[in-house]
Amino acid sequence: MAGTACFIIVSRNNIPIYEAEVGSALKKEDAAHQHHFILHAALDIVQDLAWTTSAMFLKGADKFDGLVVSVYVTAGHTRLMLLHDSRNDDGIKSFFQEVHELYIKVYHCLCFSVMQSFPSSIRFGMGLALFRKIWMLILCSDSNYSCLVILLFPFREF
Amino acid sequence: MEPDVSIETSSMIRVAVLPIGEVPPPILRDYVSMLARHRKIDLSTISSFYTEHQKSPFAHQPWDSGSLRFKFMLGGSPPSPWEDFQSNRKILAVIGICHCPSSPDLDAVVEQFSAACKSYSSALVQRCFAFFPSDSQLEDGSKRGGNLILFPPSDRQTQEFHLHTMMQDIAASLLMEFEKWVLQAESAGTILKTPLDSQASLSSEEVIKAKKRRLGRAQKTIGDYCLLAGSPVDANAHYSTALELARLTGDYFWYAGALEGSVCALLIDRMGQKDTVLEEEVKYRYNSVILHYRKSFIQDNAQRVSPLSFELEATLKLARFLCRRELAKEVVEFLTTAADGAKSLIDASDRLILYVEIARLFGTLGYQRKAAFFSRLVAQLYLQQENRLAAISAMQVLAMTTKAYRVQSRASISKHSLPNEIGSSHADGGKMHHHSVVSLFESQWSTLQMVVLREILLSAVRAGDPLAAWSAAARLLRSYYPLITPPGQNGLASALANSADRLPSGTRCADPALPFIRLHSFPLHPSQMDIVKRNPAREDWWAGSAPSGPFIYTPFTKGEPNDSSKQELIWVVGEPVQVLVELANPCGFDLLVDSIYLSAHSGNFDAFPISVNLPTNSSKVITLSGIPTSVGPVTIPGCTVHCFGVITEHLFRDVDNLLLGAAQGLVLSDPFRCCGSAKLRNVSVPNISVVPPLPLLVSHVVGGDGAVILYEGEIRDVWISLANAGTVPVEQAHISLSGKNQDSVISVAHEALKSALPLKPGAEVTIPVTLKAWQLGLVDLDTNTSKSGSGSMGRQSKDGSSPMLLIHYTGPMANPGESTTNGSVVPPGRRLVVPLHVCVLQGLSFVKARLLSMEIPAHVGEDLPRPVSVENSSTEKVNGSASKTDRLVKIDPYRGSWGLRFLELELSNPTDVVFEISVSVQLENSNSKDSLSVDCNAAELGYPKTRIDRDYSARVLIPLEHFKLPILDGSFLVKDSQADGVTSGRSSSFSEKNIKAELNASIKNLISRIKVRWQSGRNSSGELNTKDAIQAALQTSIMDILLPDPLTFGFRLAKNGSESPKESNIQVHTPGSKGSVLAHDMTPMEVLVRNNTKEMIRMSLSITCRDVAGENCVEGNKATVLWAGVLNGITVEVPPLQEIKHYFSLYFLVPGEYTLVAAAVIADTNEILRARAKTDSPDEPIFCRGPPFHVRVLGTA
Repeated sequence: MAGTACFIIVSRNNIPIYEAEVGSALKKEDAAHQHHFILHAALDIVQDLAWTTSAMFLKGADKFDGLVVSVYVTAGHTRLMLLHDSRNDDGIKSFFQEVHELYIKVYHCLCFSVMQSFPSSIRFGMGLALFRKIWMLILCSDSNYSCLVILLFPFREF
Repeated sequence: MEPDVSIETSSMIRVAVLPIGEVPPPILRDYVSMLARHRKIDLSTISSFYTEHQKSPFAHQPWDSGSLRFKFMLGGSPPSPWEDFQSNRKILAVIGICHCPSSPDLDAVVEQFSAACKSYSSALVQRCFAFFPSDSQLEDGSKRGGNLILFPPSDRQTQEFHLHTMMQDIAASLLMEFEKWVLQAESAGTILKTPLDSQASLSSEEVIKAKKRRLGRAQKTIGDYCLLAGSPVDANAHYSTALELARLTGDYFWYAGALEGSVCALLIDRMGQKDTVLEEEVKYRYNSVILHYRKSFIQDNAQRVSPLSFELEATLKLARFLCRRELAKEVVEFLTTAADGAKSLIDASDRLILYVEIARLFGTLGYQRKAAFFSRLVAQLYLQQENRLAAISAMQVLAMTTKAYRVQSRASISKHSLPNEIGSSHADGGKMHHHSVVSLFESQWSTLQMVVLREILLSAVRAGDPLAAWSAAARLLRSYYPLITPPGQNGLASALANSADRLPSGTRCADPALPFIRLHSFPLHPSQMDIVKRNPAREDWWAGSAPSGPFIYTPFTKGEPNDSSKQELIWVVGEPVQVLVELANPCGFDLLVDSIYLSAHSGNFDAFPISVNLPTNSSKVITLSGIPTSVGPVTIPGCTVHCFGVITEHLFRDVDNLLLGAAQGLVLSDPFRCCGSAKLRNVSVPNISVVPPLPLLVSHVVGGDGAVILYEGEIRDVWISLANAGTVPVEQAHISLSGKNQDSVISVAHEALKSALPLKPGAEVTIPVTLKAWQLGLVDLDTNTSKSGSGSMGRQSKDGSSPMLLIHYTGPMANPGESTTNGSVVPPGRRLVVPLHVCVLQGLSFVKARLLSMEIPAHVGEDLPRPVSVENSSTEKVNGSASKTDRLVKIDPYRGSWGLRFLELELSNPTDVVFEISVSVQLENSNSKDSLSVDCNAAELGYPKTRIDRDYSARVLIPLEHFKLPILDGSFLVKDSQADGVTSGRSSSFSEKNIKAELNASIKNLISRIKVRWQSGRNSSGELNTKDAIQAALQTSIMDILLPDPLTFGFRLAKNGSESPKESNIQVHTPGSKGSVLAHDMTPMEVLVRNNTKEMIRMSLSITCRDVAGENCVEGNKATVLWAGVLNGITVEVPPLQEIKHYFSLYFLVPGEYTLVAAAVIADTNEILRARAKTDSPDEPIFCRGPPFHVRVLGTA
């Protein structure tokens, strides 16, 4: 059936950074809003739940009105949230993992484009080792993203 | 379902509280609050009111520790169909509240009360409390007795005590009634039914079943009454029996009810102790309760009635019991289950209550977002009811969710948090840390926020609350305009306008709508009004004061330490100030701002409102002005705006944060950038303080404030008028110069200003200033020529090359109006900057200077063309007719010239006016004794004026003969001699410096005496700066100009007697041919040799005579001149600074022109002479040749 599904990526600051309404259900605006409200409310539960388990995938973290909220919490506390009505935990888990991978890739592009804006002297002066280090940081966990962004922040103005 | 249920609810006695007669709501609230304090009446306190009629069925009543609990239902409640099932649902007592002053007739009150009690058939006790009876009522009431209880007027404490007593009485009565009821029920037995029981036909089987169940149900009900009577042990005993019976009969619903009662009895018995064992027990039993309620679900009557609400209620009761942070997970599970059950609830109001309770419990857990979610569902249910009261409820519920959704109204944000934020944001000048900016925009979930705001707007419109509607629409429009389509924006604008129509004019709202307002800049005081701190300890009080403007660096404080990190701005009482702000309207409609003005919270600032019209998608910088009214600090946090019919305050800080968020991508859009406004530096609000009135000087240039157009070097007077436009006299004033080209101000009449002090308000003084236009630099010339086509005349004055007059002035030390107590604070002074707008045009230009030498032979006459120093007075007399100036230009033919040098100045006139040049040489006459000067008594010599037409060049010659030094001294030549290595090192190097300086000084001295003045038209005159050019021209040949030759030669006709008649004749007859000689005549002559050095010179003198062809005519075969005396190899010694004469005679055979030349070979050469002659080898003889002298020999015919 897979009637409704709503996918949202919520940043660590609780700001939605990506949203997609998927599924074959009627795309009524009110329903979409209701989905957002359910996901927003689920953040409270995810917030507590994330610290009780080492797993990144929290299946069925919350439910309302027959809709289930599944969440994938990244190390940087970015939450990939899916509101769905059918139970297919394995499928959802692999979906989340793929999205996480894509998310990290997009992220690299972002970071890379920011780095591109360095003056070339600095960029090359950094040396390969430092570059590799930063890449590794990003690859290992995106929790360092925030500090990296802070590091890069002054250059964003260029 | 009922709101606010907990496990203990089963032990509470419901009391309906009804207002009887007219009771004003605030008074009713007051009485009810008094009553609400007596929710719990201890059994120990009611024993005096209690009388045991027969043996109490509550055998284990805890008289010392137990209590009766009341639940007051204000306004009463309709009878519940479940009253039999749970006795606590019955209204067991009715309390009427009467406010005697508004209900004078006690009879009517009693009547009304009894009527009201009729609807509460289950009520066992009725009382009517009448407060504040009058004396007559008191009298009347005391006679009446019965249910009416009068509370005589007294203080609150007494009344409360009275009320407490009355409540104890009610409690005792109720207890006795319960005993009676239980005894009755035990003996007789009652039919207990619930809506769940089948009401239609009772089959025989069911009748038998019902009979069996009756006993269990009766036991359960007795247990309920025991609980109400505050005897948990008795209750527990009855419940155990009931449970047993219900289980046997399969009466699950009642089983669950009895189990619930037993849990309550357990908790009451434990008196609020909470331990894990108890908790586990409660949890276990309640799970069983929930299970049995679920079990009792009968499909038959599911449409009509369902035990679901009891199941949910039980779930909520358990959740409330467990509701702690540590057990959050469990509680959330219960609440989620409860929420899931909502859709099966038949009654909409049950659902409402369920959601309310879930929201409250989530809120208690600290899950604000969850609570908000369910609150919103509650609001939606209210909105479905389509009536005004429901809409008001919806609005209020939604208002509670705004915090979780981060769309709070500014009014709801607690006031105390605001000042801190202001302080922090301004402390670091708007440069917030990354994290704090992020935290400002945390949880900004625009989809939800817009929906919530829209729902608030909708509910407010339905509820008829225009202010709330306005506020919601304003928040929606201001925060989410980029997400709203232009028609939507228009809709919101009209919603704002509609709401405002219903509001009284002048309504204020905490939430600003449009436009966005940011601080643009604080314009500096115009230079006319600059304020300078006053240093009373110093004479020059303005020195060392911090800059008054917002600039960290000002040209006026160059080099002075600027210790104040905080920028400060000083405003003056009564002087209007201006602040620039930028407005933006990023929406798709024209915005008319009815009025906007600066909002000052300090109360000492009068702001002037203005009206602005902002078209679609536009921004505008406007000037807001105001007048400070009293001394003290002024804070300007934002602007007050009257727009869309409501007055709002727009804080600059909010917009700054918004822009900061936009810069980091945290906010959707920067309203200013999307309106096309440029990025602006973050302007921080400086500390503004207001000082008492100061004097105010206003300046203007007499004859117009336009630029004074001057040609290079032109000198002109300018009059500057200063007027005091302030209200305080100017007591001190000081003029100084600043800016570029300060030396172009030749003089300023300081005295004129000083003498006018103190300058009273309104008074005026005029001070003359003499200006001399400066030279245009090369760059200026270039730009001038390149831009000459555009004809920018005033350009020179605008690019800041003009000098400025700085006038520092102050008023009196202390204001007359103020007492001397705060005299320690000196009012600041002011600085008036008067730019002297000078537009310098390129004038006469100096092309080059050249040094020309010229040799004009002199005629030999009786008079020696003598060195001017020796007998200048006599020559003066001889040539008395000639003017002094003529003498310098016209060369006396008898005087001759020995290497006369001219300085040629080439001037060109590129302008379109005519210039007249006059060159003057200022001559020294101070040391006339050994001066070189020709005319000692003439201070200055001029040349005739030279006129230069436009686009023409002209040359001016200046003879430099007069500048020769009288003595050839070694001092000038040491440098050269040192090159020979003769003089010893140290002394020479010392003297070298000395001498070089002297030489330079003498060059400067020479140059400074040459002045080239020009005049153009009637009133333009000036001086040409030729110093550098002359110096360059002179530098190479300065030796030749300044130093005399070592020897000076001169010829003259020797006078034989005191007066030669022949000579006199000649002179008499032909003054023009003075000094000519006759052919065939012996002509005695003398040669004069003057030693210009300070040492004796020995030399070998020789004289030659040449004819016109240049042939030597003294020697050789064809000699045409005979001579007597010695002409060659005359060895003579000339003492220092003396002259010798050598006599000889010539006999000319042929008349004509002859040339006499004297020459000498100096024998003992010294360094000076060598240096002068520029020879190096000591062996080389120094040959010194005099200038040629002409002799005209006349024929004898």
